[in-house]
Parts: sequence; C-alpha cells; structure tokens
Amino acid sequence: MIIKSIIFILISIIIQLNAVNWFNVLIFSSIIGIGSNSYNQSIYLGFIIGFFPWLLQFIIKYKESILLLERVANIFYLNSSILLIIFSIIFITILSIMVSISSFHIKKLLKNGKR
Amino acid sequence: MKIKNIFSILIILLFNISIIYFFNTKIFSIPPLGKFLDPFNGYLYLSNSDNLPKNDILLEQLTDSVTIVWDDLRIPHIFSKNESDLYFAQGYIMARDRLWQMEFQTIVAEGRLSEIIGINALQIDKFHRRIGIKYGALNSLNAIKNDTIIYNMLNSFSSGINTYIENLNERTKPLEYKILDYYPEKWSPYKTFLILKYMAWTLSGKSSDLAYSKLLNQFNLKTINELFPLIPYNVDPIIPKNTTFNFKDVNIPNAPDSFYVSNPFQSSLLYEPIDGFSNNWVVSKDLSIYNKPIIASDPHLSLTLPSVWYGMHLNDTNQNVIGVTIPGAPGIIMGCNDSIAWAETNGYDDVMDWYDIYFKDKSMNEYYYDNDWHTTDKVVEKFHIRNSQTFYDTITYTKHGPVVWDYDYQTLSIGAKSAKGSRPRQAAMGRALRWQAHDGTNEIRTFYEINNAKNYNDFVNALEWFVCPGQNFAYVDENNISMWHAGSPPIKWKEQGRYIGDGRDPKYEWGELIPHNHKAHIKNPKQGFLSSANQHPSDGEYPYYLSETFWPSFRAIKINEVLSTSTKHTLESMQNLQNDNTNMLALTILPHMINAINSSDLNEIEYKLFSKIKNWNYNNNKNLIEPTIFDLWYNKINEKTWEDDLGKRDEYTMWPQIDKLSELIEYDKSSIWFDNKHTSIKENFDNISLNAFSDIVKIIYQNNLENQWQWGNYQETNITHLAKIPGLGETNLYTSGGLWTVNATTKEFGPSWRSIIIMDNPKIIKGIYPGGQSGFPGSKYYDNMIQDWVKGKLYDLEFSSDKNNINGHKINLISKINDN
Repeated sequence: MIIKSIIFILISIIIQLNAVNWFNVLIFSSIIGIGSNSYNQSIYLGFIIGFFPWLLQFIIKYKESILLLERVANIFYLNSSILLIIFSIIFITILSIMVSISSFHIKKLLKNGKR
Repeated sequence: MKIKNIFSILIILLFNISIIYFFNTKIFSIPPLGKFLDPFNGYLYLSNSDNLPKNDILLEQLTDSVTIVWDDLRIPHIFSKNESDLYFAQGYIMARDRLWQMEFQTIVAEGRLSEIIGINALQIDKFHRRIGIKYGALNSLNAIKNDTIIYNMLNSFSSGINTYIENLNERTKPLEYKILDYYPEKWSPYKTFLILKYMAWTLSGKSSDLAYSKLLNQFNLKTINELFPLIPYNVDPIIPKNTTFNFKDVNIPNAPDSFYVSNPFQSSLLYEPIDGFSNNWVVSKDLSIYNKPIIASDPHLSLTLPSVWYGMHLNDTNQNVIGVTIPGAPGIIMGCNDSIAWAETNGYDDVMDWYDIYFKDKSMNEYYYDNDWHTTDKVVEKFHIRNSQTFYDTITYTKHGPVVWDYDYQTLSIGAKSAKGSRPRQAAMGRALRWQAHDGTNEIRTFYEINNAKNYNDFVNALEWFVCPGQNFAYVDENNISMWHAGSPPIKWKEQGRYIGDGRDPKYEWGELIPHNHKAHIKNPKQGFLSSANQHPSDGEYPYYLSETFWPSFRAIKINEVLSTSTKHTLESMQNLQNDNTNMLALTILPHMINAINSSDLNEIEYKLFSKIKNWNYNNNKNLIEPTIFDLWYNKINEKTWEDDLGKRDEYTMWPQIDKLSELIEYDKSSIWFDNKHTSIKENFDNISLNAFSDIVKIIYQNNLENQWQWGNYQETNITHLAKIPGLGETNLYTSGGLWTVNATTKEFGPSWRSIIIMDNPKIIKGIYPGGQSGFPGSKYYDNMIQDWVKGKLYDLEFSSDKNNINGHKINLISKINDN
C-alpha cells in the first residue's frame, strides 16, 4: 500500500507540474475514487494525492518565497505565511477527498444499478 | 438502473463540477481560490519571477544588441546603439517590472474598470469616459501621427512591451492579474496617451467652478474677491517679486459686462481639490559650495505601491539621461543628462472650465451658440461589466467639449457622491467640460527633446511642445539656472473660467494660447536661486490671467528663506531643506492663537495642553504631540470661522484658502467673518480661538487621543496598493512633516520622488522614492526604499556614458544568436 501511495503521489505531482489547470488534480482524485475498493480507501487516496504534493511544493518553495507568502497571507488577513500554507493544504485536501469519495459513491451507485 | 441512482449520480457530478467552477472563478473581491492557491501554477509559481536573467535574451525585433546593467537599487541602465532599440528595450524592461501597474492605469483612465471589478466600478467608469480622458488620448494619438520622431518612439516602446507580454502565459502573468483574474492586453501608443491624460487629470482636474458659481448666487463679486483673492496677502511668487514682464503685443480679450450666473446645484459634478503639489528649486553656482549649480525636487503625489515613478538610465549615440519616468511612458520625465538637469512641480493653471449648454429639446441633437442652433455629435460608449449585462451610455459632444452632465436621471450615474441639492430643471440643459487635455497635444515631444537637450535653448524649445497640465520646470546646466511656468494655457479675460460659463455666448470661449515667449519665466536672477511650490507664478505683474487658485505660499516662504539666508549651499543643506519640518502655518498664526487665550480662563486639562503648545518650536516632528494639537486647533478655528457664513464644506461648497484665514488672524481679528451669525453676541478671533481650543481638548480626551497623539501616530502615512488590494501596501508609517511643511508628507500624499543633483563633473546625483523598482509584491525591491525614505535619506545614483563604469548585473538583449 505504501508503494501504491507513493506512486499515486508521484503521479499527482507530475500532473500538477505539467498541467496548467489546478483542477487536474481533482480529475485525478476522481479517477482514483472510481478505482477505490471502499469508502475508506477513497478517502485515504483522496487525502494523499491532495495533501502531499501541495505540502512538498510549499516546503520546496518556502525559503525562496517567504516574502511573497507573507504578502499573500496578508491579502487573506492571515497573520503568517504558515497559516496560509496550512489553509491552502487543508483546502486542496478537503476538495480532493470530496471528489474522490463522491466518485467512489458514483461507482457504487452504478454497480447497484446493474444488479 | 434505478432512476433514483441516475439522479444521485447526476447530483454528485454536478456537485463536483460546481466545486471546480466555484473555485476557478473570482467571487466578489476574492481571487479564484483553486487557481490562485495552487502552488504549482498559482501565485507561488512567481517566486523567482523577479530574479534578474542570468543569460543574454534573444529578441529578434532588435536591430542591434542592447546592454542592460541593473545596479544595487535595481535601476536598469540601458545602453543601445540606436534610438529605436533604446525605446524598445525601455518598454521591454519596464514591462518586466511594472506591466500590471502600467496596464491597470490605462484601464482606469479609459473607464473600463468594471470589466475587472464588476458593477461596483461602473460609476467611476462612466465618470472617466464622460470627462473625456479617452477622447483626449485619441486626439493626441491622431496628432502625433505626423510627428515621425514621437510616432516611432512610441511604436518602439510599445513593441518592447508587447514582446514581453507575448512571452507571458497563465502561469507567469504578474501577481495582480492572478488576484483579479484577467490577462494583459496588447500595448499600443494609445495606452501611453491614456496614462499621460490620466496624469493630466490628476494634476489639472479641479472643477471649483461649481463651488464658485454657488458663491456667485450667494454673494456679490466684491465679497467673493475679498474671501478668495486672486493674489494672496503673503504671496511669495515663483518669479521673484517686482520682476517686470516686458512682453510686446499682449492681447487680452475684454470680459463681459457681468458674469453669467449658473445654478450650480443642477448637476453633481464634484468639487475635487487637486491632489498634486510639489517643491523644486535651483541654486546658482555662486551660492553653491561646489561652484556648480544645484537642483532639488520633490513632487508630492498620491503615494501608492507599486510606486508612481520608475528609475531608469537611457543611453544611445545621442543621449545619456537618467531619472524617473511614469510606468507606461517612454523617455525620462524628471532627471538629468550630460548637459542639463530639470524637474517639475504642478503649475495649477485653470485649464478645465464648465459651460451650461442650452439644447433645443430633450433629444440634445442641437444646442444654442452664438445666436444659432448647432448640431451635436454623439458617441455611444459600451461598458462590458464583469458578471453583468453590458451597459451603454451616449455622450453628447459640443464645441465646448463633452457634456458630462445632462438630465437629472444621469446625475447620480456620473460619479457623484450624492444627488443632494439637485432639483428638477428644464430637461434641455446640460453641462459641458472644456479641458485642455482633450486637445491633441504632444507633451512626449517635450520630454524627448529635454532628454536630448544640450543647452538652455534646447530646453526652452522643448517646452514649446508642453501644453497641459501646466508645470513649473526648474532648469540647471553648468552655468545657468532658470524656472519656466510652462504649459500653454489659453489667453483668458480676468476670471474667465472661474465660474460656470454661458455656453451660448462666444465671449466665454477660450482664445488663442499664450505665446511661448510670454510664458512666465526667468533665467539667472540676481538673487541666485529660484523655487516653486505650486504658489502663484507672479506677484500680479504678469499680464495674463492663469487661474483663480494657486497653492498658499507657506512652503515657498520657507524654501526662499533658507535659500536666501545661507551663503553657500551644500548637498546636506539641500537635503535638510527637503526634510524641513517647520510648520509655516503654525509659525504664522499660532502666536496669535496663543495670545488670544488668557490662561486663567482654562480648566486644569486645558491648561496642561495649552502649556505644551505654548512652548512648541513649530516643528512637525513625528514624536511630538504639539503638531497634533495645532492641527486640530486651527482646523476647528477654520470651521468656526466659515461654516456659519458659507455652509458645511461639500462638493458645492468650498471655504477660502487657509492663507485667507491666516490674513484675518494676522491683520483683522475683529473681522465680521469671525462672528458667528447664529449667536446674539458678536464674536471676534479671540472668542473663536478660545472656543475652538476648548472643543479640541474635549475631542482629544473623549477619543482617548492622549495616548496615541504623537504626530507620527496621528498623521499615520499610508502607502496603499494601486488597486487597494489589502496586504500589498505599506500602512501606518510613522512620519514627520505635514501639509504646511517643506517635507509635505501627509496621510496619503507626500514626496513621491526626492532628488538632488549637483552639476559638478562628474555630477552628483541623489534620489529616492517611497517604494522600489519592482512591481512584484514578492520582491525585496518592491518596497525596499520606504524606510529610508521615511528617514529622509537619499541614495547615490550611478550615471556614466560608459557601461563599464556602472556596477551591477549585466546582460545583453541580442537580436540574433551570434550577436554581441
């Protein structure tokens, strides 16, 4: 499962590095959700492909972007760049889980419909 | 499959799509969160966008290679082998740092802000279109098409900007485009004119005609002239007193027998005080310790980030010039070249007049002028509004300019704060605006020629192109100093344009322009120095009528006092003068305000404050509380003096300038204007002063100001972001200075550029502005100069005609791969 998780995270990173639209990660979440075997798995996979790529990107960019992060944090009336990062990661993680879980649910409904 | 299941699936799909759509869209002022927060493609993608390029850049549009050297302040020094490449590179490099600011200003000027902001910006858009900024820009664009030098200059400049834009994409577009969610458009010379006309609006956009016409309904001319004298009592003019003007053939038209009296309430044109004031001065070599002339300048404008100015050094085979320019305009607006140095302050000529237009009927197809009906022109303006329906507005044009106001239903729609006071009127009337910036003028030619000027004659010839807005140009070369009240205002009869004019009567129409050699100017005066601080150009000897209002002379008095008392001036003495915090209004009236009060009449708290201000040294130092007390006190006296007679200050109502109050305080303490006509007793200045003092002590203690009333806290200078995006400005700056000090730093205005140039060999060039070279908020060069600007420091600016003498990061813009 760990290897599978790492592969999904890497695919998510590659997609986001190469795609211009931010929502491609959600499309990937949706695909992952359809491929999941249970609600728990869809939540888990939705979490990792949303959470880790953004976290890693923020970690990599943090040092060179501190001024920018502080400025942008101020736009959202946040006191620090760390809060902005936490807010951003929570934002994408929730969306990713939601899309993944809903896709799994659709799959389940389709299966139920066939029976 | 069950219908219920199908329905559920559709709901879930719709929900997911909605999530994507919602977070991909700007909602109100919130950026599209998904797009924006994405660390791969959103704002974080720009982290390194401000880094200087490491390698040469290939730009095929160039004809030859261009060298760029960025110094420690990030000022680009551009070395080109020809003029076309120079302006191309200027556009390219400027766009690299300030593209969003440049374009945003054009969008505001053109009345298209609602395309970005939405319906909330429609009123200001309509106002900007109706006053004719776009109209003026198009006229100037047409006019310069015959001027090949400027036409080519603007096209090269635009091409440089467009080359930068073409290399952008959704990921790399500047931060504000991501926040506001739009994309840069192609640049053109028209956009440069929009910026220049918008600057003209900032500097000449006063419409006090409305307020004066209200006064004309209330008072006779004698009273108006008493309250609003054309020449104030303490005038310290730009052209030294007692200078004679021996112009030949001065032809000034006769005024009408009586002035047309308009009803000002029937429109909602705002009375907008001018928000540009400035200092500049020049010192001759005889008064300079360096035995070379000195020029100092600090134009005071609205302080914003990105900064109003952008520093640049331009070099080609004909010119070598350094200074600042307005982002979006080619060349250098203020600075020096190898031979001369120059600087401008706002001239305050009245080049904006309003006319009542009498239409034949509601259709507004014809209007009455010179005993005949004339056909109007109409232009339908289309407003694309973000997330809303397209709006159309028809603007009617007459020979007096665009009709800014017409029917009552449009009153509120053209940017008025309120329709207060408006009342129904015969529908077939309107009010047109004649503004000199509507004309097809070519001010860029002035700066082009000044940038290339070798001597005084070149400079004077260059000024002939300068029309609007009127500016005081200070000049120095190695041997000469000069000051020109430049601009080409129309010849007017005395007080023409002070009140709303009669659009039917040709007498109210503008005449020819003042001849170039008749403009107020002086060269190498005996006194050895010259200065301007937006005050009256002359003491009344000048034969032409220029305006009813200039800025009070308080700053000018201090500048001239310092320049005349010191025997030899140094860089330090000039810098000290720029940062001088002596409150000249206080110096003039505070002793009278204090003398008016008998300390035995004061209670304990009042006495405490009174003792403080009594011992004040008139210095608006940020750590002192006395400037705050004085500011509250004189404003209260001002209010108590005028409000009962003239009404509350609003868009229709203005009070006399502060130098009128100062005159009354100094010389007429029993004036009837001090008497409150709503009381039975007859008050004089002493009563007003005491009452005002008691009132402000209450204000101070009721608002708990006593713990935070140091002048720096009370004044609290804010440098806001140009689009008012929170977090991208610098607020709560703790500053000294004020409205009545040479260091005219106030809440939102201040020295937008401070510079001192000594015409030594090599030149000593100093400068600073409140901001930084970069327009990118994530850059350390976005606001790196602000704290030093607050402290009054100046930076050394590198200047040489040899690129190898400039220290910094160097690259080449190359036209082909093997170019070098």
